[in-house]
Amino acid sequence: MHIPDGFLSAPVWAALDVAAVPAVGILARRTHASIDDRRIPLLGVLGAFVFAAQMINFPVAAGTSSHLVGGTLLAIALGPSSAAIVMVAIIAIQAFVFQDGGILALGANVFNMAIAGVFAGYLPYRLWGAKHRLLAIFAGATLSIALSAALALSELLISGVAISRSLLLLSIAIFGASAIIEGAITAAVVRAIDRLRPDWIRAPRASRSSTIFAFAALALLIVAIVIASTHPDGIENLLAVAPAQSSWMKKAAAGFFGIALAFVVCFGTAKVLARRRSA
Amino acid sequence: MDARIKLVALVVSLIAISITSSNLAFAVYSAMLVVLAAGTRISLGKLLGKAWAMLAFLLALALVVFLSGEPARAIIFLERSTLSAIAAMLFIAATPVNDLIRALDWFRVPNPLLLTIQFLYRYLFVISNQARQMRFAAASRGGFRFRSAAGAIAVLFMRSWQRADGIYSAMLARGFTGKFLQ
Repeated sequence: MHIPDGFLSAPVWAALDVAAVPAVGILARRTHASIDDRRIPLLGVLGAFVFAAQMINFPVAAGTSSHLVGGTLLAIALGPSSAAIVMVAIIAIQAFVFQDGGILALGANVFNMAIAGVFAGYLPYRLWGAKHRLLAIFAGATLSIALSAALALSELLISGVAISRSLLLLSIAIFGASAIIEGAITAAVVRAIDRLRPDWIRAPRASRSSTIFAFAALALLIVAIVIASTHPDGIENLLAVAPAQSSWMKKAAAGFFGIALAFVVCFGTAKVLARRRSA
Repeated sequence: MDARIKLVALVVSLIAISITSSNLAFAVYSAMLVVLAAGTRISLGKLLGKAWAMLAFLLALALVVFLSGEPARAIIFLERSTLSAIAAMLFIAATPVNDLIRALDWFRVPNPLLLTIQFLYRYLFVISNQARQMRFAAASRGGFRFRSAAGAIAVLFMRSWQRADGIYSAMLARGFTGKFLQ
């Protein structure tokens, strides 16, 4: 699900890179403000833990196996902002050191997995974590993977990566299954940690800005689903309205969507800043 | 060479690759990469051999486009993504990770993120070894089941947490002041 370089069109990766810079800046500031010094090594070491945990295979149906992705587990353990920073670090190392995911596509991957994925994963826990802990964690991890995948898929579709209807349905089915598996794995791991040390996890904290971030992520999920489900008809209809159906128009449409995405991110971050100032 | 220059050169060449769709230009880029590899005495064959899984993934993604009835586009995607990946591989093969981190610091990447990247990279191999041992131990008992895998990850998580506490004490004992790049 790490998008490699070469598939996203220039307007899409550029818009997401530009949007990711201030978003990561704000997350870093929030991380700096929210953690004490004792936690500085913790973020990196837990990032290494997420890497290493991928070596442990969970047997799923029919001889296949899967592994933990970890965004939601990190969000529960560290809070969403710090977890997002850890995910950004993971994505950066995977892109630079292991060529898993592109470098120009860093903005897209950060946005899909570290920002949208982590905050969507945290949302159900924040809302219902106190009462229905494991259920909320299961729902969060499922939502997290579903959202990341939907965003990645729509970014590829907008970039002109043609995917036929049957292959699209197949990939949606695969992503749906992996989302549910991540939910089950995360819930099982949290239950196992609870048994080892019942006092480890912090209770969901009432931070309004996190909730806003999470709702923005959820709104994006809906946007992404709409785009993915109407493609290719949706975008082609959009272009059919325009007089000339050239590749220039397609690029412009993609650029427009990128700007809209960037706007949503900037709007969300501005809201957060306003809240922090007034608080 | 300065990692900052290499990083800028990498990004410029990735941008060039991403907006190219002529086969002639791709051939020129490939030749440039081969010359670059020869100049840095890095064996492209060895690099590609190590990266076969990633190249297979690019091929699969291009195949999806191919099967969806856009063969010409699929080939362009494959050319772009393979060249980008090779450029990135050459960059990291020629740049020590510490130099890369110093360059990222110069480009104003926020300090909390850089610290996280540094700790992540330092402990990646330590904790991966731990996970590998657990996997080996489980394999000799007949492999993981769903529950036992969750248990193993929980143990790995708690050990990592304790390790981080220990690291912090060790850092304080050595006079840590908040940043370790100098």
